[in-house]
Amino acid sequence: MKHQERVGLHREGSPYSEQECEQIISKLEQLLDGELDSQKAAEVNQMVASCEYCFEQYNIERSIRSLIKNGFKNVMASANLVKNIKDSIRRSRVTDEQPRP
Amino acid sequence: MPTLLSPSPVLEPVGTDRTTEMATKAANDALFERELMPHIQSLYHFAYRLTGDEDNANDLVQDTYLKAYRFLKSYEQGSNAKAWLFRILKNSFINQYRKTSKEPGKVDYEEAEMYLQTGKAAYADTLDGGEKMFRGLIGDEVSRALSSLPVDFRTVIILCDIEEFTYEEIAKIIDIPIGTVRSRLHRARKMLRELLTAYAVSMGYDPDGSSDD
Repeated sequence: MKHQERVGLHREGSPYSEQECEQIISKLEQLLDGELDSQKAAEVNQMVASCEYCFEQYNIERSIRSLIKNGFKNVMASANLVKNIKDSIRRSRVTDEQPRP
Repeated sequence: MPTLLSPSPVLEPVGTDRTTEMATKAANDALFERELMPHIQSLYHFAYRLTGDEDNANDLVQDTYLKAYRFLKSYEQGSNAKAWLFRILKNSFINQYRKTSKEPGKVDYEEAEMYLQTGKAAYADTLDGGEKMFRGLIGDEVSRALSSLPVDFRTVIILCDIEEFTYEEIAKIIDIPIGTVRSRLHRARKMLRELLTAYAVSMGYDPDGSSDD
């Protein structure tokens, strides 16, 4: 079902078949995550550049990533946290050092 | 036969010499300070995104560091400290916060699928032009969408997109095969994309009127 939705959007004039586009698109995430080896990455990049539909999908993937990065900013740990951690370690050490019953 | 030649087990207190003990402690403290403490901000961020709450995030990070200190022996100096800490944190989170849930550590796919129904109708029509549509969304909205993802999906997104761990590191942190990391990331991003699309539509974006710029 999902496949049909996608196929329906496949642009005429793309140098690639629908299956080829599907294949490129399935590699986009790994490409953007830096998980493809350089040869494969170059291959996918080149295919993306020559197909309008794939290029658009690539841009959507990229914009989702930048949204995620921006949407997840600004949560700072409080200065107290560091202090509390050190205190709790100190306390745990004191307990460890006490003679066992 | 000499059977007692093997060294004493690692967990046995090493020697009783007070000076050696203190020197070890000082070395451990230095190691802790130098290699582990610098990751506090990332850990806090992760904890906050998992628990959705400052107090719980603080407790979780504190607990993580306390455990890290106690198990410092199992940390190899110079190895991936950040991934090691994230793994401890993620395990603590599962133990503390998910004890009551049905099957801790497992993704509830049915729940995820049901959850997806919300954005599906909007998604089918608006995949095209999605990039333009997302442009209007601001951090708060995205943040809300991210927090509403089921926790297993949120976790991989944070580890990959925010902390930029490799698939291999993520696999180790959450104890799943690399293939599962890949497919879970894919599903998570798809959910997010559908959610954001639905959100953009609900905010008045008209997918048919995309003739601007």
